Amino acid sequence: MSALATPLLKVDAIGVRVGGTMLLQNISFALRSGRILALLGANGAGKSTLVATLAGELPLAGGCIELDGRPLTAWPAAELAGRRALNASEPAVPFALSVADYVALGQPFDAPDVEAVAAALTECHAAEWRGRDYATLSLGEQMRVQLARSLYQLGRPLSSTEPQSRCLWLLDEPCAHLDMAQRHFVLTLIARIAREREWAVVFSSHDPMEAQLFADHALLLRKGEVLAFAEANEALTEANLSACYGRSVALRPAFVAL
Amino acid sequence: MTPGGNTLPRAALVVAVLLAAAMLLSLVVGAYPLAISKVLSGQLNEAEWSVLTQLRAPRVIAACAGGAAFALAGAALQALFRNPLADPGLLGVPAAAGLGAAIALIVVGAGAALWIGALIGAGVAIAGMLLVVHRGAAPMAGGTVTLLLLGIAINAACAAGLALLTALASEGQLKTLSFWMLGSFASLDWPVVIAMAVCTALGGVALGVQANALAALALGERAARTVGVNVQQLRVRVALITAAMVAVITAFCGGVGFVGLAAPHIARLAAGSSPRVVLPLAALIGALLCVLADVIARSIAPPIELPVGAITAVLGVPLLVSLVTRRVERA
Repeated sequence: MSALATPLLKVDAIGVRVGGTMLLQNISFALRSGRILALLGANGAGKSTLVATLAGELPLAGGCIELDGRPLTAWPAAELAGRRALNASEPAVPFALSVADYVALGQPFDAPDVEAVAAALTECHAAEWRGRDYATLSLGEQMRVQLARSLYQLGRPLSSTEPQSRCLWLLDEPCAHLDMAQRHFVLTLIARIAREREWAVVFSSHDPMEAQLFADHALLLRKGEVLAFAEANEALTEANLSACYGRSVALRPAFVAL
Repeated sequence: MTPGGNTLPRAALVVAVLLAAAMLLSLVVGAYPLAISKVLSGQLNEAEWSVLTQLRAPRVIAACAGGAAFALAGAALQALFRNPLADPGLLGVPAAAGLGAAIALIVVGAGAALWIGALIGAGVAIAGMLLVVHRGAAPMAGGTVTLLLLGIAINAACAAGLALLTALASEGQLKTLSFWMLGSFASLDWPVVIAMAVCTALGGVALGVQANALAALALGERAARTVGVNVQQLRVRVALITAAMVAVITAFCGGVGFVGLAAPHIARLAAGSSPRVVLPLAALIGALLCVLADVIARSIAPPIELPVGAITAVLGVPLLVSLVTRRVERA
C-alpha cells in the first residue's frame, strides 16, 4: 500500500464536552489525501465545533484524532502549522496591513518569502491587491487573500522545493456571506488546490449543493452525532437531508448553474 | 505601509538623532543652565560637574527608560488586545501602584516607602491577574476579554481606594501624592535610574522575542493559533512582561500618561504596523517624548517643576484627537 492509500486524517470515536454539555459524540470518519469532505448539519448540529476540534482548539472528552498516523496532541506546534491550516471567520484586522504582509503572516516566525507570497496570491487570483490595505477589500476579496495565506502557510518548503503534500486544510463555512459567483469561485479554487497538491480538505457548509458539486464525501451531523458519512452522492439523499434539517427536503435539478 | 527592510532603519535613525539632540538639550537646560560647549568639551567647574552628573544625567536616563518602557508596553498591549486604544494603564498596574504608594505614604511616610508601596501594589495586581488567567483556562472563550475586564476592575477598585485615602491624607501628603501620580523624572539616584534602565532593556528584549507571535495576532486569535502561535502562553507572557516593566517605572516616576498610547501610533504612522518595527521605533519615540516633556516641565516656570504626566498629556491629547479624526474620516 502506498502512503497515499492510508488515511491522512483519522477521527476515531471522538467526543467533545463544553461545560456539562456533549457537543459532539462518537464521531468517526477517515479522509485520504486529495479528498474533500463536506460537513453539513442544521445550526447547532456541531459543524463549527467539529472544525474547531480538528483545528485542536477544543480538548477531546474521548476518542482520538490522528493526522498522518500521529495523534494530533503528539505533534509539535511548529510542525503542525506546516501541515494543517484553518480558515474560519476572522475578526477585522486592527491596524493597517498590506495584503502581502497579511499573507506573509501565514509563516510568522520566518522571514517573508516574497516570491512564495506572490505565488500564493496569484494562485488565488488576488495578486493585483498585493499593495492594498487588507481592510479595504470586500469580503469576497478578503476570503481569497485568506486562502492565499493558508497556501503560503502550508506551502513552506521543508526538505525539498516541492510544496508539502499530505496537508490538512480546514475551512469553516468558507462561503458564508459570499455571493453565488464568489462561492463558486472559492470552492472551485479550493477543490483545484486539493487535487493538485493532494491535500485533504474539510469544509463546513449550509448548502447541500456545495457538497454535491465540490466534495467527494459528505458527513451529515445531527445534534452532535453522525447521521450519515459516505460518498457525497450516497450521503445526500432526500431521506438523509430531511432527517438532517428536521423537515422534508426534496431534491430537484438546480435551476441555476454556473 | 509595508514594513519593508528600509523603513525601520530610516525612521529609527531620524528619531535616534532627535533623541540624542533632546538628551543634550536636557543636560544643559534648567534652573542652573550649563553651556553646551562646556559640556561637550568637558570644561566644567566642580558645581557644574555635580549638576551634570548628579541632577541632569540621571533624569535624562530616567526619562529615556521611562518613556521607552511605557511605549513598549503600549505597543505590545495594543497588539495583544488587537485594539489601538490599549495603553499601559489597561491592566490596572499603574493604578495599583498608585494605591500602594498612597497607602505607604500615609502609613509610613515619603521616600523609599512610597516606592516600595508602589511596587507591592503593582505586584498584588499582577498576582491577581495571574491567578485569574490560570484558573479560567477556557481555550475558546475570550481570555483577552477576561484580562481586560480584570484591568477595569482593578482600575475601579484602586480609584475608589485612592479617593478614600485622600480624605485621610494631610495637605503635605496630598501634594506629594498628586505630584507623584502625574509623574516626574526628578530626584532619582543613580542606582534607581540604573534599575529602571535595566528593567526597560530586559523588558524590551523579552517583548522583542514575542514580536513575531504578536504580529500574527493581527489575523485574530484562531488564525494565529493555526499558524503556530501559542496564544494562551503569549497572552500570559506579554501581560507579565509589560506589567513588570510598568510596575518598576511607575513606582519610581509615577503615572506618566499618554506616552504608552501615543508613541506606538506615531511609530505605526511612520513605518507600518508590524510589531517587529513598531516595538523598537515606539521605544525610541517614547524616550524622545519623555525627554522633551521633562525639559518643558522644568523650563516653563523655573525653579518650579511642572508634573511630566501633565505635559505628556498636553502633547498627547491633540495627537490622539487627530488620530481618531483620521480613523473617522477613513471609515
